[in-house]
Amino acid sequence: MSASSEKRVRCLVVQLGRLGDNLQSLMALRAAKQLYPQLEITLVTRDRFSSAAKRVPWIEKVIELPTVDVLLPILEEKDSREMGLAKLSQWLIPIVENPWDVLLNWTYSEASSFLSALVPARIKLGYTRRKDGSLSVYDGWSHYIQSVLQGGFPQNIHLTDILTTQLLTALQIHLGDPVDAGNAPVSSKSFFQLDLKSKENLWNWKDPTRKWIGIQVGTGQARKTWPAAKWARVAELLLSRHPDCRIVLLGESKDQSRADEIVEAVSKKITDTSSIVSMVGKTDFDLWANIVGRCQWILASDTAVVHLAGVLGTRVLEVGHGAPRFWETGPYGNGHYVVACAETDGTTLPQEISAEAVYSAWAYASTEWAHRRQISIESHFGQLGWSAEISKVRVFRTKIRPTNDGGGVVYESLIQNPIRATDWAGLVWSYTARAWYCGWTPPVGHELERSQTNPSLIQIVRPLQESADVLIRICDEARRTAGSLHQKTSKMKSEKIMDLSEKNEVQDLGKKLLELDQLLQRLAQTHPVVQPYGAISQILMHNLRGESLAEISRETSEVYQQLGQGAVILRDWIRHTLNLVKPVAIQPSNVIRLDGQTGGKTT
Amino acid sequence: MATDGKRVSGELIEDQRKDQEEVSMLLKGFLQALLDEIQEAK
Repeated sequence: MSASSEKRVRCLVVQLGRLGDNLQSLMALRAAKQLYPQLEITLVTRDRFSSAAKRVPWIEKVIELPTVDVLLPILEEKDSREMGLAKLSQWLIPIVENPWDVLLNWTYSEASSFLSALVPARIKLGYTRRKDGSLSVYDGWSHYIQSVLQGGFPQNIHLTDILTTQLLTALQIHLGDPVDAGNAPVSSKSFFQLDLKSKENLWNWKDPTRKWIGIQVGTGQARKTWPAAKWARVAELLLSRHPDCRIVLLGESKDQSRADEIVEAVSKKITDTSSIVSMVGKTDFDLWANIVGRCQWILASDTAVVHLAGVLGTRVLEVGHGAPRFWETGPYGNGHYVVACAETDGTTLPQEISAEAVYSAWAYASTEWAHRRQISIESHFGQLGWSAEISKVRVFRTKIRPTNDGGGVVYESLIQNPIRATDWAGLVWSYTARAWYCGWTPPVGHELERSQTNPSLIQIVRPLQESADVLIRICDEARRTAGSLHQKTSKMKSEKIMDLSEKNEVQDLGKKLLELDQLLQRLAQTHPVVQPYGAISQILMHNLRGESLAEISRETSEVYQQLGQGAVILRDWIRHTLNLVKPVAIQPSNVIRLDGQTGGKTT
Repeated sequence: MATDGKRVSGELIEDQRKDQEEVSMLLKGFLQALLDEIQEAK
C-alpha cells in the first residue's frame, strides 16, 4: 500500500541545537517530506535559532523555546525557579495536549531528553527518559550517535544521512513504502520562502554580471575561526587573479572588526575597492540566505553558512580550521570542497592552513568545468607556484554516492595520501553501522584501494587480527550464556522463588556474563579501533527494556549477537586490508624483459 | 498519558499523585538541564 493514501501523520521534531543543527535537520526532513507528503511537521527550536525553520513553507508550525522569557530571568535572578517552572508548564501545553504520531528528538542533549519524556507520542526516536528519570535511548541510530559520534570515535557517515536514514527507516516500518518521488533534489534555491521586502536593496548588486564569492568571516567558536589576515590574503589573491569575481563578506555584528580588517588589508592591494563589499552585521536571516543563494561560492570555516549554502545549492569551500569533524557535519551535496590540515606524526602540531592553499584549492574547484579534473590537484598547486603548500593540507571533494553504492555523501581525497589509521577505523565503523541499521552494505573494502595502504597502517592493522578474534569469541560465548539464562529463566514459574540448584545455576550464568562483559571492556581499552565496541556495549546494555530476567537475558543475547556481527565485520576488514598488501602474481605475458622480448618466467 | 496538557500545566488531579510526581520531576530536570546548557555555553 502506498503511504500517499494514508491520513496525515503528526510529527514533532525537537531541535534545540544551533542554527547549523537546524539546517541539517531541515535537509533531512525535506527528504522525508518528499517521500511521505502526509507528514505534518511541527518543529520545536530555540528562539534564537528559529529563523530558518520559520521560512520553510512545508513546516506546519515552529514552536520557540522561550530562552529570553523563561531562562534568562532565572539566571539574572529576576524570576524564581518556581516561576520558571510555571512558565515552562504553560509553554508546554500546546505541545503535550494531543499525542503525536512521531516524536523526533534530534537534539541529543540532556535537556531535550526531558522534553521528549514529557511529550506523548506513538513513536519516539532519539533521547528520552524512563519513569525513574534515567536517560533512555531505544533506536539503533541513536545508540550509534550516543556511543560513536558523541564518544568522538572515528566514523564517516554524515549526520544528515544518519538523521535521514533513521527517520525514513522508522516511517517505512510504521507507515509503509513511500510514494515514488523519483530523485527529486533536496537542495534548492527556493528551499525557503524569504521575506525580503525592501531588504534586498541593502545589498547593492554593483555588477550582477560578475561572479560573487561570499566569505563568512566568523564562526560561533573562537577555535574554529580562521584568522582575518588569512581571509584577507585569500580575498586579495582571488580578486587580483580573477577580475570577473566580486567578494561579499558575511557575518554577525560581533564579526565587524574582522570584516574591517579584511576590507582594509584588501583595499591596500586592490585598486578597485568596489570589488569587495561587507554585509557583516547588516543581514537578518532572509537577506543572508538571499545573498548566499545568489553567490557562486561560499568560503567559510565550520559554521552554519556551510549548511545554508548546501541547502540552497551554492557550492562551498570549507576551511577545516580547528579540526572539525567535517565528514559528519561538513558541507552536504555534490562538488563541495574541504581543505583540512595534513596529518602529522603525532609529535608535532598540525601546520596552519595557509591562505595560498585555500586559494589554490578554490581555483582548482572553480575551474573544474575546464580541466574536468583531468589534471591532479598537485599539478595545479605546482602551476601556481605553491607546490610546498600541498604537503601541509588534505583536500576533499564531496560526492553523493549512487544509491547502489549505499547513497549518502562521501568526502573523496583529491591528494593521494596513504590512508590514516583513524580514517581506516572510520570506514570500518561506518560500514558496521550500515550493516546493523540499514541491513545492506556494499562489499567489504569497497572504498579502500590498494594504493591507499601503507606500512604504518599495516603495522596497526596486523596485530588487530588477534583482538578481533578474541572479540568474536567473547561475543559468541556471551550470546550463548545469555541464551542459556533466558532458557532457564523462561521455564521457571517464578523468578523470585526457586530451588537452590536453580538459584545457583542462574547465579553462575549471571556471574559468567558479568565476567565476559568485563573481559570485553578490558579488550576494548587495548586499542582505539576496538574501543567503540566497549562504548556501544555499555549503551546497549543500559537500554535493555525487559522487565523480567527472562526478557532481559533474551535481549542481552541479542546485544551480543549484534556486537559479534560487528566483530566479524572488523575481522573481515582486517583480512581484506592485509590481502590488499600481499604481493600480486604477475602474468608472464605482461612482463617485458630487458632484452626486449615479452613473456618468460616470473620469479 | 501522564503528560497531557492539564497535568503539565500544574492542574493535576490529586489522586494521580504518581503521574504528577513524574511530570514534576521531568519538568524540573528539563529546566535545570536548560539552565546548565546556557551556563556551559558562557
